[in-house]
Amino acid sequence: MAMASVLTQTTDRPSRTRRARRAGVVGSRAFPYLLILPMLALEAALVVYPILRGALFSLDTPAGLGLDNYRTMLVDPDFWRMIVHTLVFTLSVVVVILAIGLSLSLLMNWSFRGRGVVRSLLTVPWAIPEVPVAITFVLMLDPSFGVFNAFLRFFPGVTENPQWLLDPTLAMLVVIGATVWKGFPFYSLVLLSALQNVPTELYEAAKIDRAGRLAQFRYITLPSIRGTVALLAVLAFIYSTQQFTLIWLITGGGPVDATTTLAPAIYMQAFRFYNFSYAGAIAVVGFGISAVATLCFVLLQRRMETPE
Amino acid sequence: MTKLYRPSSTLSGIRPTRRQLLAGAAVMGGAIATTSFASRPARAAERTKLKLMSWEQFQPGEKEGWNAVIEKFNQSQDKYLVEWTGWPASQYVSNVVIQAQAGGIDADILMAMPDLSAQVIRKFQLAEPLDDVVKALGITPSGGHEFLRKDGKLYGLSAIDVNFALVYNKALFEKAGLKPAATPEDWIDSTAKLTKRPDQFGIALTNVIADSGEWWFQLQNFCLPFDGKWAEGKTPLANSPEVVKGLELWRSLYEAGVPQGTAQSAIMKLAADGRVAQAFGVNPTVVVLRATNPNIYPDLRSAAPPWASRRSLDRIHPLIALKGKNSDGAKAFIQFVMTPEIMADLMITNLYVMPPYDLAAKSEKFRAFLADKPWVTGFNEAKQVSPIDVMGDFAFADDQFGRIIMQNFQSALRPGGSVKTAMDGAQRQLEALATRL
Repeated sequence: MAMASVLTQTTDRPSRTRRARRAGVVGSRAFPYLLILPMLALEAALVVYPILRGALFSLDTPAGLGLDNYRTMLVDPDFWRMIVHTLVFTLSVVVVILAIGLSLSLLMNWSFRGRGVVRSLLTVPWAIPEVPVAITFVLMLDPSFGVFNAFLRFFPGVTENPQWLLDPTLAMLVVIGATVWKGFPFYSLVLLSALQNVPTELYEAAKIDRAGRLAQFRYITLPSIRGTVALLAVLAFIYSTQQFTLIWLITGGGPVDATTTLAPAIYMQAFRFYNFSYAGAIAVVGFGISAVATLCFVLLQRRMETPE
Repeated sequence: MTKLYRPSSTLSGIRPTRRQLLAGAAVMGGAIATTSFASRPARAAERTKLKLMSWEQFQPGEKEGWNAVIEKFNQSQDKYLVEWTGWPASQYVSNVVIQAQAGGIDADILMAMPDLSAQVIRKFQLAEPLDDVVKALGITPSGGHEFLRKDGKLYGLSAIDVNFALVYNKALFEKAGLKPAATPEDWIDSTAKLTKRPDQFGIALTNVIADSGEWWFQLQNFCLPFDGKWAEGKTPLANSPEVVKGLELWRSLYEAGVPQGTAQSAIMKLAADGRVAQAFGVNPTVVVLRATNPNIYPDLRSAAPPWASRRSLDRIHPLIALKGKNSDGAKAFIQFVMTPEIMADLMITNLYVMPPYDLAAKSEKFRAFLADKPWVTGFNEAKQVSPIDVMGDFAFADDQFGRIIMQNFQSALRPGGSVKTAMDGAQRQLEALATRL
């Protein structure tokens, strides 16, 4: 017994020391920072540095560092037109995608036969890559052979095939439609999971109080999911501000620049016209717009979390 | 019994053990391996590697021809070893320009598109003159090479040459009792007669901005029907009467018989299906149509551009020897490629029909190849003009120039739109662009 205790003591002492040392590191304040250090290093190298480098690049002028690109941008009517197009596109996408996402999630929240199958089918647009989506839209919208016009001709009064991609207003509607079609499943599924977290007791109590469906939606559903809706609104804002593939492949930013938003404008300036520093200046503005939108969300969320 | 003499018996006393045998084999194997490894770097070290920067190694139907040329060059001498480098065509220009802007191109030989060539030669000044190569070969480069000259010296030799002409479907023309147009008025008229929407279209012209590269590629020609230019030096001429008339001709064709709003890929499919009577295109158009539908190939013909001067854009993609320690090797490779028998083989394999110089006079094989191609006539009758010759200093901003023209021109294609008003708008934007050139 004594022998055993001696043995235990001798073998235990270093391991206890190690454990204590380890507990010291684990328990220290620096430990969480050590854990996130690799990720921070990656973020710094792959995100922060390129952003700073890009911002610095935007100051590059033939005469050295300066604000010439920003001055040119502010007096460039094309730039302001592009900002208007970006806002029209982005706000339309945010509103429509959330409206469709919410409507579908409400439908999917009902129990009906085959709900699982319908839910799976809903994710299909999200799963298809953007390039085939764009090519398919272009073919379906073809004025001579497109299936869209074939259906449209069934409507009374439609005698000519609309030139979907040659009319500025129609082209904007097309890119908004394609972006919404591609993105709505994500919003709808996230909202569905938020809806399923609303306590059923609230609805039961509302029913006892004889609240109608509209009142239930207004006073129970909407307040319960508003945090998720706000988050999705910011995500939709960023998603549509950065949208490039669908716009570029469907309209190329045309006609008459009508669908040139932030991302295609940056691409064109940098990789088609080789005005890298000017493209950098536009990118800085785009970053600013996204940052302001995110800040608004954080403030809004804090306000909603503050007890009244 | 006579004992047979066996020489090996003298060694019978020195029988190696298994361990000695294995050790001996290992030593021998090591020696062989050492010898082969040692000789390989020695051979590689003797040869100077030449980097050929191009997009051709990614081109189906063309890379095989180029690989054969490189292989022949590498076998023909033991001083240089040519290796590919580069990107697919869609990413090529931007990547090369980024390298050039950063200080230099990481290659010894550069294959380039016309506007990129102009930048490399004039703006970045990275090219070596090739006059001694031309002299050594005794060749006369084609007229399209003019834009590759600077201060009287030639800085590139055509590797691939494509020019524009009227490509038409002989069967559809014969059925309508028509001949290819010779004047702009005839052209509009015959296009209308050959159109029966949506079953048949009189002409294929790219017309959507999503295919902007292809559209500008064709539209750039439309300054030529009335002898105009897009720019002279830094002065844009977008609203000059000649250019406006040229674009009005394009709009008339568009209204008469173009599949409007249809993507370029779909237009090519229509043409391959025999539902398009003519196209204003380059010689590889015929190769693409043949690949899509071999049955249509016997009906394809070409005619010179239907205007008095018969001038059309000729896009030479030259080989350029880049400045640097290997520029002699680069010139040696270009000289090898331009040798009549090598060039003739390349052109036949890759179905190139526009030779970089008077190749038909120097190669019987190439003459026979051309004789077998009735669709080449129109391309040969067209008078070559380089895009650089009609773009002035905007040759360095070709894409941006084209984008401005197309974006404004689109407003003229809407009902009630005016080409002159659209081009006045383009002119203002191009004048602003000129200040930034």
